[in-house]
Amino acid sequence: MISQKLNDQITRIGPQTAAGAVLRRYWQPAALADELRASNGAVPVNLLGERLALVRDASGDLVLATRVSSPDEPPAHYPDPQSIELVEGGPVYPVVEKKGMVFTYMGPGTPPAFPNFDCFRAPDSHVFAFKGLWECNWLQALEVGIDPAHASFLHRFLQDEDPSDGYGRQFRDKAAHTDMPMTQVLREYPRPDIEVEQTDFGLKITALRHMANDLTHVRVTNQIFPQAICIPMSREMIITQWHVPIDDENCYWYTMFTSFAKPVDKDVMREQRLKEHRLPDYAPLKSRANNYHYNPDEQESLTYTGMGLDINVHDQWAVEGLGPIQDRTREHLGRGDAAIVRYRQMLRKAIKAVESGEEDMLPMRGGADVGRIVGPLSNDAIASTHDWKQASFLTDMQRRAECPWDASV
Amino acid sequence: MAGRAFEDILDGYFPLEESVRQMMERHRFSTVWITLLHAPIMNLRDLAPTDPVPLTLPKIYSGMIDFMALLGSKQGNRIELEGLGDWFWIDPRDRAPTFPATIRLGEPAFVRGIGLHELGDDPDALTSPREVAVVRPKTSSALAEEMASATAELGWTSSRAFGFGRRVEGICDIADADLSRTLLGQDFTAPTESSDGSGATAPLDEPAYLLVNTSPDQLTPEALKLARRL
Ligand SMILES: [Fe+2]
Repeated sequence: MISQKLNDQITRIGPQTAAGAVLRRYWQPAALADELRASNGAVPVNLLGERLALVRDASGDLVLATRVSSPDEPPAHYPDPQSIELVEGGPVYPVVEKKGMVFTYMGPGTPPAFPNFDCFRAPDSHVFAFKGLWECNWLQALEVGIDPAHASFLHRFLQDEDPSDGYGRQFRDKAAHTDMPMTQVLREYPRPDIEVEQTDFGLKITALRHMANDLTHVRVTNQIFPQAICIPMSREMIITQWHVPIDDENCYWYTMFTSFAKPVDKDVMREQRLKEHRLPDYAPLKSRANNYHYNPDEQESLTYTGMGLDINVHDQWAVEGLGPIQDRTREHLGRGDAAIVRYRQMLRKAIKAVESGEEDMLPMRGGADVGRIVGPLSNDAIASTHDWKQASFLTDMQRRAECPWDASV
Repeated sequence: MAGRAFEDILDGYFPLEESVRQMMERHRFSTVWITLLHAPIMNLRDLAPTDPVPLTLPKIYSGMIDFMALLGSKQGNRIELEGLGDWFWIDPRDRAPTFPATIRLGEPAFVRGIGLHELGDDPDALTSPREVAVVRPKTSSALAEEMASATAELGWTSSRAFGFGRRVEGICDIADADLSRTLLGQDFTAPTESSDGSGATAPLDEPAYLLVNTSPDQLTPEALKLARRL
């Protein structure tokens, strides 16, 4: 229960807003490289309340420039590239392309360095990027991602499928090195103990599900300041996901799927996701307009939501269901929301730092040696309850040691 | 006397003193020093401390603690809170020089602090290495030297110190406070040459400080990490 004013402070991101000023101090995903390739001209970009386009400048470099727009265009408006006109003298932002994503820096001064996260270190062959539109504020989209308990409910599957059919899908692998499907672990142990630890990049979030026979399932996920998460997807892959505001009431998730051992089968990954999204604006085919294809029969026998097997749709329904901007005057967080509480404190601290001109205090800025930040460790492990910490660490080290690219930490 | 640096989350929505009391109960602490940062608060005027949490928050009832250092000590079944803080209310009518301990947090708040399991006038407090110690200055001057030599007497190489340096009535605005003898996490290093100690004993009414051991080679990595984040 925070007042509307305090809710506005942490959610609104347009120019001259407190949270917007923090997000502008970091590289932001602006488009997929797939969009650049599909366009024979400019690529429209709607980002942080600004209407922009990716274009080549006079020297042939890719930049993000302000485009002419009308106030009544839809939030994720995607005009024909040929019709895009630039605003003369409007802001122009630098861009860099990394692993299938185009990042931009919309803040003042020198942009921070990129950390050496796995998604940036892995070769192109091992990273696949995709995005999708959610019709809600970026903060509620992020906050579901740092709540380790929600997967046991929102993503509950009432039946376990053969994990060998699970390629490229979240929670469809076996849990760690057991024969237990991940779906079963989540379903049978719904109330994890949650530990949150501050790191150089944000937060390390550990969810402990104490199981039978003195075993504990350990799931390590991360919050990367300001609006990304890094979580395990399968034993083979991790997900790094940014929740990027279009405006105050709409956002894109941008995800890098990073594979350790084998190259990513990008065709399969893209095809799976294009079945659920339309081009060119990457709007999901299931939405509030069609009730997310909710099916009560499915809910009875197969999934918690009755909205199909794609967990992205579950998250989309949960966060869009809170309204365009979650009304936090009616919210009651508990101690189980530890990561959300910690994240908000970091965000408020950052807002204060920017307002008082102490930008060097922001995570991964100032004198921080950002290039030395590696990992982060994100994985699932099942271990004896007494040494879960060590087992979780060793599981990750083993995966890294067996990996053909340099994933050492 | 045993104590340690700790991190926890204070529950929201209940009176602050009740949330602190429950936190102390969870850890079995008899005394705590905690720091709150950027914690939303609400002042529900017609709500008794024992009333349940309402469902929504009218906008004028809200504010924020930017910073607050609190010392909580168990007095029977209840606790006494004293502290210094910097907070604001959106409605100027809520402004006051003191912060009632019955104010409710607007959401759970992450805190770092030091907890003591049992606080007494332990004559051995300065003799054996440990994570936390209570130190009473022997004189009313040269606080920094006193803390540095206390660090050495404890057998530590470095410490971090906390204390208001005087009696505080309730929770007061830090802007109005005399901070000349207040320590809010200052670091001290043991001098290489020990001072003459001079046999002075601490006057009993002298306010105490909590010293946390930050010596790199004396603590478990976990304890050192917690101490350094205070
Ligand atoms: Fe989810």
